Amino acid sequence: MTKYVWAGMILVGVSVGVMTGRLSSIGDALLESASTAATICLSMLGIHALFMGMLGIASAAGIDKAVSRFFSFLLKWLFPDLKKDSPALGYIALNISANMFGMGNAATPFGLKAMAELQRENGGRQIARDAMGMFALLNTASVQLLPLSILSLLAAAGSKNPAGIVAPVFLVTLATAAFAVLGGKLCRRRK
Amino acid sequence: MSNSLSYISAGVLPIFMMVIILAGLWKRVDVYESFTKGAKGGLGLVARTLPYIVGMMLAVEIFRAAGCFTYLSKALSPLFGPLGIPPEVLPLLVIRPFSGSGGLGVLAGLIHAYGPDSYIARVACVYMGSSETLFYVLSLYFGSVRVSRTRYTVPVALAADFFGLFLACLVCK
Repeated sequence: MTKYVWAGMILVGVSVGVMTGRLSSIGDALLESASTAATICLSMLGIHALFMGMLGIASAAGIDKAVSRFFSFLLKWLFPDLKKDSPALGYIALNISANMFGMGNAATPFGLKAMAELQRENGGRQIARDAMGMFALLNTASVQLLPLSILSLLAAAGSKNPAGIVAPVFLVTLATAAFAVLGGKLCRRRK
Repeated sequence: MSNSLSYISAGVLPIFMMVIILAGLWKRVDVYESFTKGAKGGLGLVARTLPYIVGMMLAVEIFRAAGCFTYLSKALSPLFGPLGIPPEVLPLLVIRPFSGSGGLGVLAGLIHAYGPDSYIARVACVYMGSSETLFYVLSLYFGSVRVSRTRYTVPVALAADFFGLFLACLVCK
C-alpha cells in the first residue's frame, strides 16, 4: 500500500505540475525537501538520544515491570477466559507497558511470546480466540505516554511548544484504547 | 481546551524525568551509565528513520508544490468538512496503518509544509501518536501463530483508528 501512495503522490504531482506549468517550483521543492529531511533528522538525533537515555534508566530501575504489575488487575477484566496463572498474562503486561513507554522494539518480542502462549492454550486452532482478539486490539490501539518520534519531529521543526502534544496524544490514545476494548468486548462470542 | 492541555504537557516532561532519575537512584541504578547506554540506541533509531523521512518528504513536497493538496481539499471538503478533518492528512491516514516509518515521513512532510504549530500539523501529530501500524501488527501477531480467521479484530481496529482521527480534530480545535 505504501508503495502505491508514495509513487502515486510523486507521479500525480509531477503530471499536475506539467499541466499547470509549476515544474520549476516542483524541482526546487524536490531538492529542498531532501536537505530539509536531513536537517530534521540531525535535530531529532539529540532529542531521541535524550529520551532513549531516560528510558534506559527507567528499564534499568524496573519501572516497566512495576507498571505491568500495576496493570494485572485490569488484565483480569480484559481477559476473563485466561487462567489466573497463565504465563500469557505476564507477557501481555510487559508488552503493554513497553508500548506505553514508546519502546516498540521491546514490545514486539513480548507480544509474539504472548501470542504463542495463547495459541498453545488454544490447541493450535486456526480461528482466533477472544483473548487473542483482545490482545491484538490492545496493540493496535495502544496507550502512549510519550510520543517520542513526534515530539522530536516537532522540536526539530522549531515548534513553539513541542511538549504541548503530549497531553492531547495521551488523551486520544486513552479514548481509542477504550473504544477498541469495548468493541472487542461487544464482539466476543456470547456464552 | 488546547491551551490548558499544552500547559499540562509542558510540565509533564521535566517531572517525568525527575521521577525516573529518583526511581533509578532508589533502585541503586548507575543512572548516568544507563542514560548513555540508552541514548546510544537513539542514534541507530534516527539513522534507520532517515531514508523513510527523505522518501516521504519528497513525495509530500512534490504533491504540495504542484498544488495537489489544494485540489484534494476542494474535492474532499464535502466529505471531511462536516467532521472537521483537514483533507491534507489523507496521505497519512492511508499510509499509517501499513508503515510506521512511512507515516512518520509523511508527518515530517506535513509539519514542514504547513508549519509545526498549524492546525493540520497538530491534527496529524495527534492522529499519528494515537494510531498504530494496525495491518502490520495484526499480520505479524496472527501470522506468527498461524491463525487465519481473525474474526472481528480488523473492523474494530479500523474503527478505533478512525475514531482517533476524529478525536484528534476535536482536541486540536
